[in-house]
Amino acid sequence: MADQIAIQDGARPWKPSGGSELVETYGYYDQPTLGLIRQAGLPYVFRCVDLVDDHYSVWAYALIEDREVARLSDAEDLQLALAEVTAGKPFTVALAHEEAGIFEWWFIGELEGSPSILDSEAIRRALLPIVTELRNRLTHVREHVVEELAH
Amino acid sequence: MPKRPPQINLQAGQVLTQYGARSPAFTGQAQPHFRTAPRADERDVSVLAGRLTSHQAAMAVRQEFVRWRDVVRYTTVQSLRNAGFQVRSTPSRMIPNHISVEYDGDWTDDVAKRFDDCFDQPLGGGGGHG
Repeated sequence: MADQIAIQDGARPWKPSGGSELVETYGYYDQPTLGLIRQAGLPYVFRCVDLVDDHYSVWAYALIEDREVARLSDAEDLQLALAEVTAGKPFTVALAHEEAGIFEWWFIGELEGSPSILDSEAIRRALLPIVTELRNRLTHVREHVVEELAH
Repeated sequence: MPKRPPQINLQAGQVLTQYGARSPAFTGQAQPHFRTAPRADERDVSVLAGRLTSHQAAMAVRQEFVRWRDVVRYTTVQSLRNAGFQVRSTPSRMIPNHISVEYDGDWTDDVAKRFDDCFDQPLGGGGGHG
């Protein structure tokens, strides 16, 4: 499904697969934080949504259309243009470690309120139940392993 | 097509702002994080031209401001150059006042300490959240 960007385990967030290319970096602060990727010819906006601490970060990706790429290229107000072209788009959200790269990712097809990729709060709200479920699964596995070891 | 923002002509006395962030209280990390060495695969540490508030710096770097989280500290071009660092204007469309701090050699722990020592005490961020 093209809406969902292909991600490889361990990839850098701004080059999420071997076949992707960083086309333009709109924002750079210690690393590319906002920009445009092409993968299999398709354009995706990416953004670092959150820095959990020095090592972990949350990233979002949204497929846009070629005419929207032109809109971004021509925009005097890039922030406004980014908000407009990504509003209501499905997102792929990824967790990355500074050295190990991306290690978890999910496709979020529909977000309440049609937020843009600049709306960190909405992306966090969508991510929370997913991360909570992941934690619960890991807790279940941990309890199983501890119990097995106890016998 | 909008042009890439122009480079800034950096004067020795130019004040520079480094953006940092506090972690939520549950992490037990009381001190804010300020990067003192480049990330993996990068060559520079980022700062911003100008004496920016924590709100201004956070909006530039993260496009949002969180009062308890966002922190800044300051240095000057001269301080960094005196400590042996190269300071270059490297604007992007979203961060036109972006400045790269580079070091000609290995960025060892000693170099990181020298970089850290160039800055004054951080401002902003309430701490204790979460």
